[in-house]
Amino acid sequence: VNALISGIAARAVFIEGATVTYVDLDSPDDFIAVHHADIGNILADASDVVEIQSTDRDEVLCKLEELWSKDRALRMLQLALDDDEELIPEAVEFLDDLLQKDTADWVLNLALSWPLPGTPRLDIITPCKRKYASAWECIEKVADLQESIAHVRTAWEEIDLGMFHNSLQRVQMESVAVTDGLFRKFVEAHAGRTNWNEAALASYMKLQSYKNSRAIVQAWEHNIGLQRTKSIIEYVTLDLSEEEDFIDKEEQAVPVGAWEAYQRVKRAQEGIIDRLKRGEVSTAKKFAVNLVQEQLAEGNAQHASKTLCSLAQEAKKRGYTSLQLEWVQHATIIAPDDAWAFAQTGDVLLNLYRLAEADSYFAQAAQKGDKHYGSIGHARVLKKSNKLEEALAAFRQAQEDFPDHPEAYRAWAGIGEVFRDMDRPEEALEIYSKAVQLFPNEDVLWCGRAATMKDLGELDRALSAYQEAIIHFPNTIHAWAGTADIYKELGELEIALSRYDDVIARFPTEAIGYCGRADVLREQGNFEDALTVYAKAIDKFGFDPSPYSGRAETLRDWGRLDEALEAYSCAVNRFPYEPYLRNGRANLIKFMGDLQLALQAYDQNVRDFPYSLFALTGRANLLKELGKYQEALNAYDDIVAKRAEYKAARYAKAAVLTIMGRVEEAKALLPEGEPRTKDEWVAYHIRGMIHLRAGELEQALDIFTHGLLRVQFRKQRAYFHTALAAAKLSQNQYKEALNYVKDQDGPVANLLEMHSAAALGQHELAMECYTNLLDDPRENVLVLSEEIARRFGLAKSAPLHSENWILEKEAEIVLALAA
Amino acid sequence: VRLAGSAEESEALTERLRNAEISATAAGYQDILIDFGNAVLASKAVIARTLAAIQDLLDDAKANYTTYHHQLQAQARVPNEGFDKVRTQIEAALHPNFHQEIRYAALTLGNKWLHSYGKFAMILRTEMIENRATLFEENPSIFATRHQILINQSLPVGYRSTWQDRNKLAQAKCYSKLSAKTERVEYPNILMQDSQVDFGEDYVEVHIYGAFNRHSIERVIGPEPKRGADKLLWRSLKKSCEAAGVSVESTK
Repeated sequence: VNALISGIAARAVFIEGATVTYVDLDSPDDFIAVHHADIGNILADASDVVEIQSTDRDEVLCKLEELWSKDRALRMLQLALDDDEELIPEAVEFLDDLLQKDTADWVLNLALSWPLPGTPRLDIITPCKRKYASAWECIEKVADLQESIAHVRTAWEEIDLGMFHNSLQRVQMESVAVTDGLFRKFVEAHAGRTNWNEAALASYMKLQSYKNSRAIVQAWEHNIGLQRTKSIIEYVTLDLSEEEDFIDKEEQAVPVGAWEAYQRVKRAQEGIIDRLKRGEVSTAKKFAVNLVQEQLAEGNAQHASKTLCSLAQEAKKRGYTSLQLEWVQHATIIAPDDAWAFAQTGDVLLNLYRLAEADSYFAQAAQKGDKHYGSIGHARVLKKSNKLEEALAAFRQAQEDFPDHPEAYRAWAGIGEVFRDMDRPEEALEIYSKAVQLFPNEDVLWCGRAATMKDLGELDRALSAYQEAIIHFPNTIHAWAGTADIYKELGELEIALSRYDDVIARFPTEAIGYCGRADVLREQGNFEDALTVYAKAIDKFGFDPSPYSGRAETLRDWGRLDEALEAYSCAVNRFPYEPYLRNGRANLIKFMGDLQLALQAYDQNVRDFPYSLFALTGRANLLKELGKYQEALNAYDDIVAKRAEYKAARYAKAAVLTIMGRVEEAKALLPEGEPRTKDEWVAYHIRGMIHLRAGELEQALDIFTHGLLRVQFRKQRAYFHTALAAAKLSQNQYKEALNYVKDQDGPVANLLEMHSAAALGQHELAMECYTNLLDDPRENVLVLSEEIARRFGLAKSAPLHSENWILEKEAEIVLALAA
Repeated sequence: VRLAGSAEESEALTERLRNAEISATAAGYQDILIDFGNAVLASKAVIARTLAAIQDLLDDAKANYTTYHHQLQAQARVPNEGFDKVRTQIEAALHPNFHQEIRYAALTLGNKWLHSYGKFAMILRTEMIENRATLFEENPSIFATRHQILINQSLPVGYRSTWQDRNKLAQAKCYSKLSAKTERVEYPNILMQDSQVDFGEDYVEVHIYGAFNRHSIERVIGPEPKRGADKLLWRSLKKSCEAAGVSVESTK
């Protein structure tokens, strides 16, 4: 369905895939976008909804005007026949006007189906009968025929209910009898105004598709009490001959050879794809409708469904998700037994986060024959809804149920992905390694294995794995892009840049190469070129949210913060269902120092994406930074309650417990052994901070030094720089402390740099740091910087606390802001 | 009402409210949050409908406001498999064994209603519904999508309340839209977002158990129609309202 219209509601609803808009007849230029879940409510009262296979605005509005005129003409007639003297003259006037729009038959069909409850006030209407002749003719007819209307109505009501298949059939037959004018014909015949045979014939013809219709019409005729002049046999003969005529016409279609038909469909598909490539979506849609109608006319619903599914894949490649959904859903309607069409619809809905609907389509795909894809689909739905244990069980079940299926690797890949989501990279690596041996021809498994090695911080191994994948699958973009990404992570930015150039050259129709290259340029501080590449990516791949967020981040790094915020806001408006864009925007607001607004942004993200642990963690981290430790602790507990193995929240909670002096509880949350993943390096850093706060300097320094030397992840490396500076300050080794933080950014590094420089007598540098911190929105940072200023004579007043107090507060802030 | 007022629901809602208070305190707008809650205590239930549907209810003293499910039962409506299936399943999850008896409205402050559901609106008399109405976070279909709830799963607790606790639900839901700069005049738009202003409706849904008729309507509101026939219908409706003791208000 492309459009739903209702004259009663005076409204048209346009449904194009995932996009729903409506327009009211009163304001035909205002298209209002609504949520797809509201479709049922938008026309809730309307009993005259008509479905139209067209999105042509003018055509739909024209049909809407027609339906509105019919409905309002009937309502004007009701008012004209009512007893309100004040309203009757105007009702007659409007009725006359509306009857000029071909509504007379519709109005009379309905008006002659039910008798009036009272006597019409013809004395008021009669004076304007010449001026409003059409209205008068209609009103007079209804008034004159009241007796016959009542008689025919009673005759219908008296038909034995047992003659109908069920009560629904009675309602449906009555509806047809009213709207198609059968009541009206019998009424007119009863009043002697038309031929009785004609009324009976029309009834048999219009109601023939209903069970026992002939006996029902006979009973109605009998109750009315008029005699036909033709026998029932004559009707039946006439009936059949018309049907035969219809069959003859169908058979006149010229048969087309299979090869010729195939070539014609192929050419038509190429034409549609070409339109999609040029961005001419509405033309592509029209061509697709024509092609499908042609295939259906040839009696080939399965082929038509396949055509739509294939075109839907082309729409997907170009980011037309809504069109993709429209086409696959259309395929399920024209070929209700085509399991593949249902599976494809499930896929699209899954990507749109409409999980319940996706699950339902996957279940139907399974019922209709594709049990494997249905099972995998269900597992994917569970994974996407963060029910990871259930997802794991579902993938394992699929693995067990379909060991020899040609696509059995999907279950293995699914298990690997769930383990990665669960922060269980060792198990993920194990399953990928086995799967690669069992299904060596599946690139997704090779790339999944390499990505897991990266998760584990084994960057050299990951690089080799990606390079191996390239040898086996030179046409797999993820292998090439994965290699480039590892070089970036290793800090080999020139090599990474050259690898991303390779990706762009090999896969020019994919956004990933452009975004990767731009990201490396950003890392190099070449913001201008990075923005140019992102702009090109947005131009080429406007449907992909990645270049939008990359552009915003580049503007942020360049210090053009207002523009960055504007860029994020545009991206959020364009992709309202992407939680990471919303979190990026909230992070930027935090970075800009408006912590209240940032908290509001995180809160809104938590409400809009309650399943997103990033949103919850963002809020909890901000509470921690604001020094609301108990509240932050509760927030982390909520996250851990949702997913116990979510390490980011678990370790951040350990940091808060450390600040609060609950060291043993904190230690229990931290892992033992050599860290590997990013989260484990954060935990390692916290462990070092526990030693530092306990005065165990040697152990703390061992951990921080080891971390600085071994960690491969840049952000985590920065944590060890500030931790080492804090440790050196506690040993009064100010020069070493300064060296650790002088090239670092952020308020923590600034504080430690201020302290070191001030202690070394570098007052100019210390003042510069102090000035930078004056606008910091965190109260604890401000209080500490003022105390350092007092302690080292940068401010006039005397210090309020001891030097030890400063060291303790520095350690607290390192934990609150860095961990 | 018993479900919404259960200890489990009530505790979960209190926990959500506590989170709202933490954010409000951290961001310095705790007074606004309290004031917003107080304002919501004066909110009403509103139902948006077509002119014809409201007229039918007002013209007939015996007519009851009908539900979607009763329309189906009476065969006055044919279900739309695509759009209505999920809706029915979620309603059944919300109101096990009695979802067919629920009438749906939205919580409003002032003269706001959801235009996509109908160009005209009926504000209900609080005293006629307060003992049989509960509140739910939002449109249940959107809630299910937002929370990624699958059909065979139960709904999370803490997202509904009794009529008397509607302020708490509104505070727990809307706190992220408040700030230290929020003024009272903004409250109606914070409580109910209409698609004519921003994409997608967002509102607190009112679930009313059992039938009601025109005597439960306090006020009818709507815009002065632009077309002649509709203007006459509006005049006719105003007369019906007058006869039934219901006030009428024209909006722009």
